[in-house]
Amino acid sequence: MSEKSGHIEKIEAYLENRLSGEELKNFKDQMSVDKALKQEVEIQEMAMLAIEDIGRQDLENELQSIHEDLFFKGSTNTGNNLKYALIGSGILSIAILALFINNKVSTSKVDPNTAKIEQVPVMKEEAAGNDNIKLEDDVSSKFTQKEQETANLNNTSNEKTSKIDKLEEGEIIFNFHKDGIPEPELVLSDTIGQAYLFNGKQLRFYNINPDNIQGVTYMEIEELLYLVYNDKCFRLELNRKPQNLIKEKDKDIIRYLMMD
Amino acid sequence: MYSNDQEVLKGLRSNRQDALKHVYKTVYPSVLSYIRNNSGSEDEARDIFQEAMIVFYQKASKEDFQLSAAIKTFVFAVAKNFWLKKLRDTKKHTDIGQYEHLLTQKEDKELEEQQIKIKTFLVNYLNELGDPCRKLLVLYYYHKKSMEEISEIMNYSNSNSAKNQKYKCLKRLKKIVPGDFLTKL
Repeated sequence: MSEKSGHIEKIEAYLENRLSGEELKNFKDQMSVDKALKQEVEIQEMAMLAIEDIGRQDLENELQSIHEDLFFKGSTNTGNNLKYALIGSGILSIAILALFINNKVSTSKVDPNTAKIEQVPVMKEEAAGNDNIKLEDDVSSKFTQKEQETANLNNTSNEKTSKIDKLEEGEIIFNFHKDGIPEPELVLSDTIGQAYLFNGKQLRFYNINPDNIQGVTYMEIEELLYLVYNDKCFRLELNRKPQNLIKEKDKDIIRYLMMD
Repeated sequence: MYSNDQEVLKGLRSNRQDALKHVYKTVYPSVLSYIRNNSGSEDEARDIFQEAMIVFYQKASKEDFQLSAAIKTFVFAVAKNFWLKKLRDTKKHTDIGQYEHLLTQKEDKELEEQQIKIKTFLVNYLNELGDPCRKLLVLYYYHKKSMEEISEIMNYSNSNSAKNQKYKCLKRLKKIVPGDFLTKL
């Protein structure tokens, strides 16, 4: 390959659009007759692109590492900030919804044959501490080992035999017709574990119908909905565009729960 | 840490990772929320956001970059556009005739594959140059660092030394790349 002095600088100036007027015209003319020069320009251009690729790849790795550092290491302050912000908003949602349900319980006209709404929420013991909750992909991992153990203990000492115990993943639990129009079905998409203490706070259980559903609530964590039946926690989906519809239909979901 | 956007821009040049982290922390939650509310997943939000961050970084690295909006607004807008484009592309793929689509895709793919092949070879040659050359060239061509900045980062005595080193690296690269490299591929 040619190593003529000044070629590299000139080629670089050409590739970076720093040549103009006569200088640019001369360089182009030279390239049209000098195949070796043309080839050098092409290689240098590709080399510059390859260097940019290397730089970009390095930056991608750097960003990924920042992402992991910020959002997947429970020990970092920034990760905790986001985590607590999300958990906090979840808890706030639960509180608001609980208030809504409470109001609804006291005023709604629920079919007495299928639902008796009469009891104050059943509370469980609060788990000690909440600092060791990790923010990870798997929602179930938000529940700490300690909380899991507490929940298991509660479950064994408080076994239920209601029909809800038999609900399985993928089962459609509600299918309503509202004003003659079929409403989206509510599906238990999968079981994510036992329902128990979350973030050191208590889930609020409502006895809607002691013979049917023991303790129902739903909670919103990171914009997803979860339904709690008898200490089991299911991820909730509607059969159409689950997440968006759920968000739009929060009130309807509560209505469904209340009506069933 | 950063009281305004100008400080962040300065930070991008002097302490890149710190400044990137600051922008990431500030803007990502909004992008995540937007994409999730528009049929996207968390993984998609992360990928789109990182693409937007790269665009932002590349623009901000240029010396003549003028900030016309707040960094948060800028990055969010880029991410939003990327996401909307992705949604449109996905829709297009289901709408247009599959044969026409496949033909265009094949041509694009062949060209793309050829470029990837060339770049892969060149990346290997660049790696052969060793760390100092690789780092210097990346700092100059990708991070758009000036020779003064490069001489500081790489402990050269002055900007002229950095400049000479850069040309030596390019010369060495040209030596190890076969002249008929492009025609052989």
